[in-house]
Amino acid sequence: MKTVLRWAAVALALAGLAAAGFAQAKDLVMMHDKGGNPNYQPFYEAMGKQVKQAIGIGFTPTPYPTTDVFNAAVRAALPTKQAPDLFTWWSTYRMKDLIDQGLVAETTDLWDKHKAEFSKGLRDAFTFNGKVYGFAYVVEYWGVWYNTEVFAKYKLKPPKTWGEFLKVCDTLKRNGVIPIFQTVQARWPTFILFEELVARQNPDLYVDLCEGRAKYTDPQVKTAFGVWADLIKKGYFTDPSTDLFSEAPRLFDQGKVAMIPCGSWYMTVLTSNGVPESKIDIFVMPPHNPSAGKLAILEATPILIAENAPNLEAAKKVADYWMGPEGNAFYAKLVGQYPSNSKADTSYLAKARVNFRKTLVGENYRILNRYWEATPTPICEQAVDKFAEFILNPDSLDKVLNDLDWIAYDYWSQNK
Amino acid sequence: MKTTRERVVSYLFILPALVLVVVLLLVPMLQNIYYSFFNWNGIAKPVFIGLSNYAKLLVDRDFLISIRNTVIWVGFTLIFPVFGGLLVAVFVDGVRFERFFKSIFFIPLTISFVATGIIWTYMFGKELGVLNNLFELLGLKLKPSWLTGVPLNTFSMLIAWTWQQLGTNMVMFLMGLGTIPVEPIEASIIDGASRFETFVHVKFPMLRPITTVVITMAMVNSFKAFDIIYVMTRGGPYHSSETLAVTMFRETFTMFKMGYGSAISIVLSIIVIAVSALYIQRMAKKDLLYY
Repeated sequence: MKTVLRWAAVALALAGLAAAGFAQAKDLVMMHDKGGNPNYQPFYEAMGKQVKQAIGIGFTPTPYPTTDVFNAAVRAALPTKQAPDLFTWWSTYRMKDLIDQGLVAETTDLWDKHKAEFSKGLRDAFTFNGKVYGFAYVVEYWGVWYNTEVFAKYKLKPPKTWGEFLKVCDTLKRNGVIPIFQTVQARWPTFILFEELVARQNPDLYVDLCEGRAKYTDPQVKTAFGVWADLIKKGYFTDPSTDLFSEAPRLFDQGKVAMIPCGSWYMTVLTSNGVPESKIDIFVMPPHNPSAGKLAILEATPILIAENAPNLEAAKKVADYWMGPEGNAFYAKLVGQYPSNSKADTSYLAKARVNFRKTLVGENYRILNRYWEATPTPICEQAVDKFAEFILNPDSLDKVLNDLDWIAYDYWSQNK
Repeated sequence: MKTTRERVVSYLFILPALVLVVVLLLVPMLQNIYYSFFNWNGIAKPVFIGLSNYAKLLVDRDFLISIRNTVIWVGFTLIFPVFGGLLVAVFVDGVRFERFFKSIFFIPLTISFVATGIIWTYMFGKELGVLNNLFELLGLKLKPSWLTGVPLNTFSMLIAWTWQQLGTNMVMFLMGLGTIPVEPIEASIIDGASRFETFVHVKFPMLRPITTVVITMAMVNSFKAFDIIYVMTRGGPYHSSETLAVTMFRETFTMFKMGYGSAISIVLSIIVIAVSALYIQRMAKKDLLYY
């Protein structure tokens, strides 16, 4: 009997060790919101395998098809012991309430380690009270994608001034091509034209507006909206019910829409929908107010580490590898996007993307944070619906601006 | 007379179901009521604000639009999916190729709400949608903005809803028709009643029990309508096509106003329970639940 018990004890101990070993070898969990359209799951899976190969710690991406569902799932999980080790998120104000509640792990040491590889502006977008959180794995710039074949057909060139831009729109419209894509579908894309036009009225005003130092009823904001209303009334936009992901690429490919203002990541959407690279190029929207100067919108795409991550140290090691030139370039190359690490290889980038970044860096463009992240989430989430109201009825401008002021006042009066 | 042991065993059999109902239904419901009195973003400490969330509902324009849309959804559901389901059931019942026609109307029911929403989003697309291209092929100069025109977007989604729901109601009514005894129908035919008269004076009154069930279920489902709206318009543009369920979701999971969202869900639950109870009570009083 004793022998049986002894063997049983040994077997249990071995099983325990095996279980412990299994637990150690288990991959980290990374939740992400990009499981819908476009679907980034295969890219994250490949990155998980690459990290495992490089440093011995892998991660399993868990996709969510929509932002709302993802948001709710992450927020519910973060305060618990089931918090994800890593999760995709958005920079600046989108991170703030999670950081305020102590739910995000600090990564200042990693940013210090890679100090020479990242721009100060990028670090600032992740800095709160002197501490840095998360890391940027790719960066995106926003411009206007255009169909090169359509432009060539009508002998058009990427516009450098607002006058040239209007001329391009006019020529396209006269020839039966819809000049610019615009939509209210999926809510968020309504801020695209807002940020492009308000920032090009006065970039400082745009920053002040986002941070609660200016009003939406400011005459300069109204002027920018006036420019927008003028474009709408001239019939330069697509019908606002046209979808950015399912319809716009096909219309672009068929030459029915010539220009799509969007992030540099949109090239992946176009090519994955069958648009040949030779048909695609991008330019920076010229300022309608010349004194606004040269500027472009930046979208920093972060991955955050949960403070309650079951494998906090391992998650930081993954972040360290992903921030470094090798890991950063590996993922950026997979998706064909800009690496956030300035020392990372960029030779894989499509010609359009290389030229675009060359223009922005070479001509000293002022870089502004995207509205989605640059203003507090409660304001942004309501503002996008107000922009939709304006797009569908430009005559509602005064009402929309007053409503926006109330929305902003409601937030800033409690959160200054 | 049951012995004590038998009673204990009976309760033990009920216990697992009871635990599930308490843990998964009653506790969350009570928690929901509790949080409706708080200002809470889901992660910070909740702040007690009494009835403020409920008071705010009364002056919230979006909430009032949402109530209006919910009423439209319920009204439309009673007319088209329910009445349509009845008509289809009556016409399909006993005809040649009955099983084929039943299948045609039943197939949409096997598709999820989300898939239905996606299919109809493609149907209603402005530029590349099936309907607008069909209009163009037919030479019609019609190009409606099905999903962004207000209030057209609500009715567009109701078409998708009817397409999906008609089969459920048809099946229920067919079940009801199957339970009607043959004698009164034969008697009415012998008396010279036409097919229409037989339906109006004999079949329809005898369908009342199932009609009550169908109407109650249709009302409850339309009050809860969420999936199709979320997929097709997300309640937009600018909340114009939101129903109470969508507004509740937006306030809770997009705006992270957990307390306010809870208050909306409480109001929605009260409306659904009150309307259903009143309707069933009225039917019971009139002795219309039985024949």
